[in-house]
Amino acid sequence: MTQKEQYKKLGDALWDIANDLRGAMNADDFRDYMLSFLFLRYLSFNYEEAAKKELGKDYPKSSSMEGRADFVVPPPLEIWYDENQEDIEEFEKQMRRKVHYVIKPKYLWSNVTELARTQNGDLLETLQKGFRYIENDSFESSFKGLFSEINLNSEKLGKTPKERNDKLCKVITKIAEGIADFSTDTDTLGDAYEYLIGKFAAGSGKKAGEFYTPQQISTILSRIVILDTQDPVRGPKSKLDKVLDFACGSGSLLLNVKKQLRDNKGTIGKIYGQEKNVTTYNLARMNMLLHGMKDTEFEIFHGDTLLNQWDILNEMNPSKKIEFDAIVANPPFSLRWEPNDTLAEDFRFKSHGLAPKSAADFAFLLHGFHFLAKEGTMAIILPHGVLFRGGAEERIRTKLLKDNNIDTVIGLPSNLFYSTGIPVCILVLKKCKKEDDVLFINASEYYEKGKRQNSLEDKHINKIVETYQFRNEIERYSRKVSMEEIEKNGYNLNISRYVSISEDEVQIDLKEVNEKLTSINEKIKTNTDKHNEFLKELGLPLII
Amino acid sequence: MTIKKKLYKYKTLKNVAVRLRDDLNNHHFILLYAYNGTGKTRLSMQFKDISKKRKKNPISDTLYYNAYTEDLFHWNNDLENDIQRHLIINKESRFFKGFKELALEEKIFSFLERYADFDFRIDYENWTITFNKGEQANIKVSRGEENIFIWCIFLAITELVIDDDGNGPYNWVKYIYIDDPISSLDDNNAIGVASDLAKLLKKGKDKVKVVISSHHSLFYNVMYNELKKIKHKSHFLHKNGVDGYVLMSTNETPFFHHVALLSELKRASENNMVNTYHFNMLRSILEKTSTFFGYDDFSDCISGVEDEVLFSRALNLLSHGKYSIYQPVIMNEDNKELFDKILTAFLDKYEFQLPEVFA
Repeated sequence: MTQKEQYKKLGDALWDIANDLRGAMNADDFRDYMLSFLFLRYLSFNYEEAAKKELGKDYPKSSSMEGRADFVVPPPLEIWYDENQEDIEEFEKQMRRKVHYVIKPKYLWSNVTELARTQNGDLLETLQKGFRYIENDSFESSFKGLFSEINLNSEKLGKTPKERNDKLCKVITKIAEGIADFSTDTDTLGDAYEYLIGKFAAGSGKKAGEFYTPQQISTILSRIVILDTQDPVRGPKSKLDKVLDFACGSGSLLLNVKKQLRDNKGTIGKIYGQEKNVTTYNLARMNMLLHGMKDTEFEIFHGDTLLNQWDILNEMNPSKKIEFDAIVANPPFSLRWEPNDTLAEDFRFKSHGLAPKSAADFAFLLHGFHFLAKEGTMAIILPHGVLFRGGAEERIRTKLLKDNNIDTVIGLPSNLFYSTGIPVCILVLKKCKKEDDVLFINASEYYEKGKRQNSLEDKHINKIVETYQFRNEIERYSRKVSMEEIEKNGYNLNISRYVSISEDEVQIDLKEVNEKLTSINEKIKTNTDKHNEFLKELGLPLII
Repeated sequence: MTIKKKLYKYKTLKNVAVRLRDDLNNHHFILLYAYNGTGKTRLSMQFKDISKKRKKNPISDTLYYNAYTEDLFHWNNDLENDIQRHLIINKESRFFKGFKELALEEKIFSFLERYADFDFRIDYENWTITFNKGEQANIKVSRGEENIFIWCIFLAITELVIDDDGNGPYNWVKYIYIDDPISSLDDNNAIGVASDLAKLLKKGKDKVKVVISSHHSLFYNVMYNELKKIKHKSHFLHKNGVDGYVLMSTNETPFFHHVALLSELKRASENNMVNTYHFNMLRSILEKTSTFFGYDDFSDCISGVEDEVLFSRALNLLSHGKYSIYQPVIMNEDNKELFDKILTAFLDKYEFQLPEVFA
């Protein structure tokens, strides 16, 4: 089985469990429980692997008959803890250095599943303590509130503690059994986790798609921002110091940037993400860890991007200003916000102007753009409206164009998202760029039609990225447009004004048609004559 | 009864509309109460036509929500396959001008999730809307759900009107005219809708002027209470037979439909002007009162009074659908006497606070 098949199969298995179990619970709630348990399982296995290496032959042999890792009890580490009380402190210190966290044996996944399997009344309490322990004590740097949205005392699980305990027993046993056969390596689990987030986003009755960018679109953004800024033809950069997604959702876009860079043998210094919704923020942190990132390799902040609540982005001293080599974002489309006088004076908006109340699109864009490094690339997904709406948005757009900050405008097909059918575009922005024209790519007709949702295939993605990379001009697809032409259009960027996808009328060559008709007439004559000869031989009336 | 309120008489609905526009010159809101059949919808059309038909600079300046708005949507039920059910939008309407460029779905949804638990998706190419609940796609929603959905679209657009900075797709809107938005809504939703609307309108009071007309007493009452602190006018619109229309101010008076009805019944009784349809009204009030108290039968709310059995039989017999408000028939003397007795007994028993508005 390839890795892709692995994670898809694992994802489907998990999805079946979800469907089987959720019952009265809605998809959103169930998602939070399920993903938390998966996370615990991942942390546990990863930790046990590291412990095995650390202790070498001192790692106790398991007395368990069970071959599947999910059910090995008591966990070998528990045996070791019991036998080496005085060495525990030193061991945990080592582990913190190696894997950046510690888990007490009784909170390990295998122990939890055993409690669940035996319907032990202590399950609920153990889990609660375990989650609290991971939040507060496991990691050196703070993971406070990581499980804050997982309410184990929720009525949704059951009315009494006993009922809740029983329900959890069932849920955990199901999950454990459903995933026991799957590989425990980071990528499989991480990708399955992603896959599941996508599934939940699609299947949820709410507009939950907001925190999830479909992978294909995320790949386009990622592949664009890792390319050399000045000269994309030179290919991907070997190193990105800092990467930011200021509306990061579950963090999958950031992880995609990391993946694309790694596939091209590059590395990322540190990943930065900001997310306003607390549940999603926790999801993002778990997602990072599940993809094998160390807690020191990323920083996700919970707070409002438009109000700029993140301290590191609020540094007043210009010499200390943080800048990013790559910025990606899929902010909520045309979000209603409350611009005020203070914000009008905000350093992010001051020189460009304030986005209107009805749509924060440009506020998001300007926020990101402010922190873009001179040698950096930013790619952001926005609804088409930003290309042509009037008023304040027109002024912001004009300023960006005059400053030569807009590099490429990519129009995508409609119906690519879970939450909306609205057509969207990708804007690629740069602080300093070589060309003084704007590349327009009209990819709106290149997609795979789906039942509820359209999708992009590899060839569609490649076509977009390559067109950007080599700044190709392709008929009815892409064109470099000079600033004069854009100015003539009143700085309106409506893609169809520059790259029309309508077919040209076919030119008809009358001479050619004439020749064709003559030859057809000749053929008719020849064949009629031939036929008439046969008819004559048979004594039948001829064709006239 | 003393006459405290001024009456304004108008020959035509157009004149009423002119009056309303005049009121809005120095008021933020107008609340209009009128029974069904008075001409509310026609009035709303007259109101918007004034700016459209004037000789100098004809423009439309009114975003209105009424029965016609609901007609902007119609169903394709996929009768052949019964699978691809969707709502078709009349995209030609100015109502939908901001749909595509402003990603309206999220804005609509933030209202919708307060009232309903289904999701929807707009197809901007074909201008259709499909509904789904969880994994069930293309579901057919009930008439009530459909109405609340359309109402949420309207709220989202109203929000855009209020937020407009002079450049948006709804910058032409100066007035909003809302005509009976709550047909097919249950009482809970009517209150919810009214308070959401009031909150929104209060926020936008310096931006747009609003006329709200309704025959729904509960909705009207919630609107009145929410908006009474802001400069407004509230009128009771009457049809004055062939003579045209009457606007009667309802200022500073708590406005309850049933109380208004009771007052009218009392006045009819005192003036000896009882018509046959008044029995219907009385019965309707008794029905509501009984429901309120949780009784099984409407006559329970006059139980214990003298002649209880006779009253209840009379109400049953004499309240018939065939009596039309539009063709009043004077009641015969015996029945009139009976009517007076029942009414008096009812009023004595429950001691309603009757406002003296209805002269």
